Amino acid sequence: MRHPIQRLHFCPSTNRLFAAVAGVIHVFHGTTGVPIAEWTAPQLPVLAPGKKSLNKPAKKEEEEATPAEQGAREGSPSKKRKVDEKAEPIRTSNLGVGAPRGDAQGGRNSVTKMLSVREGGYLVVVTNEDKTLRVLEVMEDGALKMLSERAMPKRLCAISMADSDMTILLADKFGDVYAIPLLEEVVQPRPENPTAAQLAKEERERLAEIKRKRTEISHDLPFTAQLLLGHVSMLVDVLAVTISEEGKDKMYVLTADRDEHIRVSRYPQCFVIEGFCLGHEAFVSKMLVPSWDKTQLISGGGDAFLLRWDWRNRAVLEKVDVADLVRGVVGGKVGGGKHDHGDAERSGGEKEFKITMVGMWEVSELRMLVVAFESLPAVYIFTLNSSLVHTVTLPLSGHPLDVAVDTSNNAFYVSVVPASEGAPTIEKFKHTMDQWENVTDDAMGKIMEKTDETQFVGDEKILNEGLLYATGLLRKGTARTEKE
Amino acid sequence: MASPPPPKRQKQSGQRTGLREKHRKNTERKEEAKLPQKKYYRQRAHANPFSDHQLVYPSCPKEMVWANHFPKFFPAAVDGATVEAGTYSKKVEVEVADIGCGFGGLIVSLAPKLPDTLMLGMEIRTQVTEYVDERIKALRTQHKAEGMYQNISVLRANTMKFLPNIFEKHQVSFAPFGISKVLTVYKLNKIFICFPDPHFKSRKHKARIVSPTLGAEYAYILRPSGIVYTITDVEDLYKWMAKHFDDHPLFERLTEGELEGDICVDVMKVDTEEGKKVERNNGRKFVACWRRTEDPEW
Ligand SMILES: C[S@@+](CC[C@H](N)C(=O)[O-])C[C@H]1O[C@@H](n2cnc3c(N)ncnc32)[C@H](O)[C@@H]1O
Repeated sequence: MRHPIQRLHFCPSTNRLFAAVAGVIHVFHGTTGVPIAEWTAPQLPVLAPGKKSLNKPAKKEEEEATPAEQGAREGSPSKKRKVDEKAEPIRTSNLGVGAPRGDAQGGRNSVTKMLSVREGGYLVVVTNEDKTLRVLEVMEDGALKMLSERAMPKRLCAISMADSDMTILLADKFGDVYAIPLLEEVVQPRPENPTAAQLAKEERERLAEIKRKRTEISHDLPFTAQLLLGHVSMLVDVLAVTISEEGKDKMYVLTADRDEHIRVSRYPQCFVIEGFCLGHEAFVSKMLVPSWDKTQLISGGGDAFLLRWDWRNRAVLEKVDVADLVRGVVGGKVGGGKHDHGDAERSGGEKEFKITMVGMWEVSELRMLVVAFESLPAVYIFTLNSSLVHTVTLPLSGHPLDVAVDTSNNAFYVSVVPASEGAPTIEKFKHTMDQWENVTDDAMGKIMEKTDETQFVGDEKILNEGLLYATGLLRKGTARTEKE
Repeated sequence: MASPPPPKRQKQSGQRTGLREKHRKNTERKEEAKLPQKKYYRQRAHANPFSDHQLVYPSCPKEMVWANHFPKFFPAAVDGATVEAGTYSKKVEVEVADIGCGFGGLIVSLAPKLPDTLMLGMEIRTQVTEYVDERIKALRTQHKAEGMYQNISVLRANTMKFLPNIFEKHQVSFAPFGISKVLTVYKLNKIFICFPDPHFKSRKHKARIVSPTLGAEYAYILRPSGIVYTITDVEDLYKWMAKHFDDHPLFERLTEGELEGDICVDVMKVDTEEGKKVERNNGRKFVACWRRTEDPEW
């Protein structure tokens, strides 16, 4: 099966489309679709089937600390790896696909976040398996050159930029937000083959560390990183918003978590919490502050509604029901809410389609939003002025994964899970004469020709739950039902 | 093959014999306002603060019906929000929060000492919360004539996640209908963190009730000049808590002198269940308190 494009990104300044397929980032010319460059995220050493990992004690510790429910997102693949001294690490192909089945599945290092910053001069990339933030320089010709690699302690859930794009805000699965400079001197790597003496010394130091750290935070990172704020719930989104107040530019950090909170903090004084926007009944998966009116916030997630906020006053301005819209596409019973009761519901008859927002994107020129839901083959277009109004539903050939907006052309791309072998993995819509038109041109053909090269071999469940359909697993109860 | 470990010696909790259920359902006991017995409410010491617990919590503070907790303080109104302008009194605000209150020793002891102050204990373990609830009910009945213990209540809550669902921001300004001036209501005045679970392993630091990041939430609900009281018998934990509150820009440590004569400190030392246990074992107690400062200029 072809590996779908799990992440899309468009950089208007350079007119380039970035498409991430598993661990590969393809760069395309924004108009012609001609492939310009590609870059592959380093893969983790993967174990021969039946063998187990050796260099992952730290990882195992974290997994233990991970509660079952929260662990849902992390998925079962990583849990399969246990510590075993004798296992031999082997490398998979650079694509991280086509690897042997079984434990090797855990080695897939896929791109989960991608953002171009500073007029497209850099690409900030996050991968899931190694929890690493990488900053790539985007060369004149579009080639990607890695500048830095920073491994974070916990899986990363969202990123946002602050301080004129010079600071990266990273939100993680354990609820913490770190501020990390975009550009950083590369840290000296550990020697390839440490001697026995070196190892013994390291072990001594490690033990001393453990003692010392009983009263310290367990992860001093080997690079500049400031712990800005933290929730105890898993974070799902982070947003830095600069707004002019009393003649001064003020920056706020908005953080959304799995327990329905949207927190508004000052920046950089994040220890001052201005307030919470409380009103969601299920997890919040996405927040959007429109560039044309920064006093507003739209949020959505596992609820059958979106909320429009005056976020500085923590007031709900509007609750926009989407149940009917969703029903219009999927038919049958639809709903949102905190829990997925699975069986209980099923025995009561028809299974309810649980609404899960995948994302929201703005088309700023048109003051429109594109909204996508998980497992639902359509995107919804809303206009946002003094209220949020649905205008049109655009059917897709498959379930949407990500959207990238080409702002200068009032167009957007949607990557989808192909419905069949021949079905497209990416679609494009362009706004012309007050209509959204599905574009199928040469450029789209070229893009797909390239991205279709990557095949996925293995257990599709792992791909689905680990990468493609992970948002719905934020709902409480899903982890448990899955385990049982 | 290793043989299974010998069964742990347990305090008699009556769980197997059914005594536990009987005791807790015993309506006779409640009618006579007898205090519940702790042994029937014991529960595994640790509840994981990260997991979901099928916890029920208000979606926002407006949903808290304080009148259910403190009916004597809300004679007419159904909840705080409908208290008429003019009849508004400071009494309708909860001013003391006991985080991880355990069996409730602190608030029970403070109840008669601060009779006009509403105090809420919060506990994550269901059965322990249930015990405190029964205890307060029995005390209220026993002291009906004097009207005591009406000012304390308990709530099952994971405080590490849901404080902002329970308490408003420390200070709320509003213009009540029919009154021209804006009233400012100050919320929490004291937060107690007594003998919190130490979670020794460093990788568990996020499970601690005092952490580098939770300070911001305590500051959010605590009014400026309000006080955070902490006590522990674990020196490492004391150092940890001290470091994080000392480092926090919104808290300043109270000096020994400032704490002198503060009855809350004594109550923390001698009337909490843990405090008593430490006393019996001749352990040390480390007390540290901080004042919430004003938000800095922005
Ligand atoms: C060692 S006991 C101390 C009890 C009491 N404060 C005393 O001094 O006797 C700590 C208590 O905190 C509770 N606790 C731990 N984490 C909590 C959380 N996140 N929310 C509420 N209570 C919590 C535990 O269940 C336990 O009862």
